[in-house]
Amino acid sequence: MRKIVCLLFFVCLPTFGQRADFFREDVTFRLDGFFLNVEGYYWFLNHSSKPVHSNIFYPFPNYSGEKIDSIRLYNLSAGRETEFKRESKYGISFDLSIASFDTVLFQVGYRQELKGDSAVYILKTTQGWGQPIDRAEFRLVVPDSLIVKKFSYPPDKSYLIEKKKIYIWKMKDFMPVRDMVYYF
Amino acid sequence: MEISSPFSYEGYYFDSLVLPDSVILKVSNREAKLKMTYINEFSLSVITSDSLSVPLTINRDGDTIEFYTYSSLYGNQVRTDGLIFGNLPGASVGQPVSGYSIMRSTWKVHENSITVICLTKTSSLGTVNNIQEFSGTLEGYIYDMNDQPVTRLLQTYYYFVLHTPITLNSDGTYLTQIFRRFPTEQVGHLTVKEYNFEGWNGSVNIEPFELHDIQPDTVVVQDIHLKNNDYVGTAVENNHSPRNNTLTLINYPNPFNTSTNFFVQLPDGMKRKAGDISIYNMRGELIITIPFKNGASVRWDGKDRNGNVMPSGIFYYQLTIEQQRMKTGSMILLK
Repeated sequence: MRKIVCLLFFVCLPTFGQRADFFREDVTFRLDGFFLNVEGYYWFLNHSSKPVHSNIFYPFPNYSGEKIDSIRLYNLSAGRETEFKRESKYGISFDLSIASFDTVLFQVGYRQELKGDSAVYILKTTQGWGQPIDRAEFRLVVPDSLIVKKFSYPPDKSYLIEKKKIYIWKMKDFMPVRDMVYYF
Repeated sequence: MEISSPFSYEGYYFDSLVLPDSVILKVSNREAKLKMTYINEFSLSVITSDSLSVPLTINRDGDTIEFYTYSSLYGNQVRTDGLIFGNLPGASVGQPVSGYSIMRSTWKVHENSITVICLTKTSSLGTVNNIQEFSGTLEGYIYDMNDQPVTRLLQTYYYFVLHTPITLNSDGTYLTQIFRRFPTEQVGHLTVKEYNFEGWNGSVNIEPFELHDIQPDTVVVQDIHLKNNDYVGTAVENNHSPRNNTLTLINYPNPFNTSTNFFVQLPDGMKRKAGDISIYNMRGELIITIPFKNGASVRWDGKDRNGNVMPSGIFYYQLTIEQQRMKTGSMILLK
């Protein structure tokens, strides 16, 4: 089996050898004006005939030193929690192993304290994978009392349900050109 | 000629909301500004003549290239980066032959530092994380001090450091890439280093060997012998799974439109027990009960037990094992 370091999700490190492909993400954001809760699902694919071992770097925004806690990482394909390493304020890193021609689904969650009037989810470093994501879906859930004044990406749909506003983004062949930012 | 210089997390970290103001490329006292469309917050992508504000002639035989990066985010701080190539003293990479570009990839985060300078065959190599097509490949087996093959290095990353890291193969086969620096390069000592994001904190020497006539895109078979066995045992011992003592219930996606999934992982002591997930509407009426399989996902298609499509709204779910309520949660169905 091969070992590589591919700095992730967004930031990809010098990678040597075979690597996994990151091809889908599905992220739900819950914003209340004080915290941004992020729950993301990320699919990786090994389209080679050999198992792949990678180390993935998952970045956090840290523009104003906002505290990030409640970090959780779960390998849904393996059915177990996955250990990760906190890389200071920059993010976390974790090991990714994929059998040949297999896919792996990870759940990554965290809570970010918000100090300003915006919330950021790092997307643009996805460019580091060198190819568009086949499919990306994002959902933002906010209380209806919170006004989101501006989005870095215009939502495709929005709903008002049970005193919650829900915004939906659905992208195909998505190569982010900017981060997901909510100004409120 | 194309030049690539991705530099992420180095020196100062570009805020992804604020791009660097400008990047100046300087070659032998001539300079040009990089067009902003070729810059993002993390890296410079492939630079060609099209990406420069004015034409810039680079001496193919050898030249010094400097990048000056300005960012008002950091008080107009300037960051200097550069490389020397070709036949000049101090050159870190050789003269690119026809069809090759210079690749400079720098990674500096925390205390780690990797810098790769090499000649690459395609311009796409200038982008980050597209490095597997680097020049030549080294394959071989690694042997410990007792001449036993090293296997099962699953948990930690190790590299041979030549002019570039080499990736260890967990089944004992090493696979890596060698970068040509000069056309008649002779390579001497390699060092095995442990890489675990805390820095280069381990180093194991190996017996030196020579590689001859390393050309781009070639494969070299070379067995490697360690000078000590310090790191081998550690890596093997790490290859085990911790006991799972927690109950996990994950519902995704949430909110959802057509269907949602429940993933259930029972603690090791409960793995043989059966259970189900009950879904209720906001009035507390039972909609449907779905049996689950430990360690797998089950899907709810937003219908009740009679096949009726449920309207938009908030629904509650409850995980029950042997008539004992274990976990609950809520989800939003959007139509």
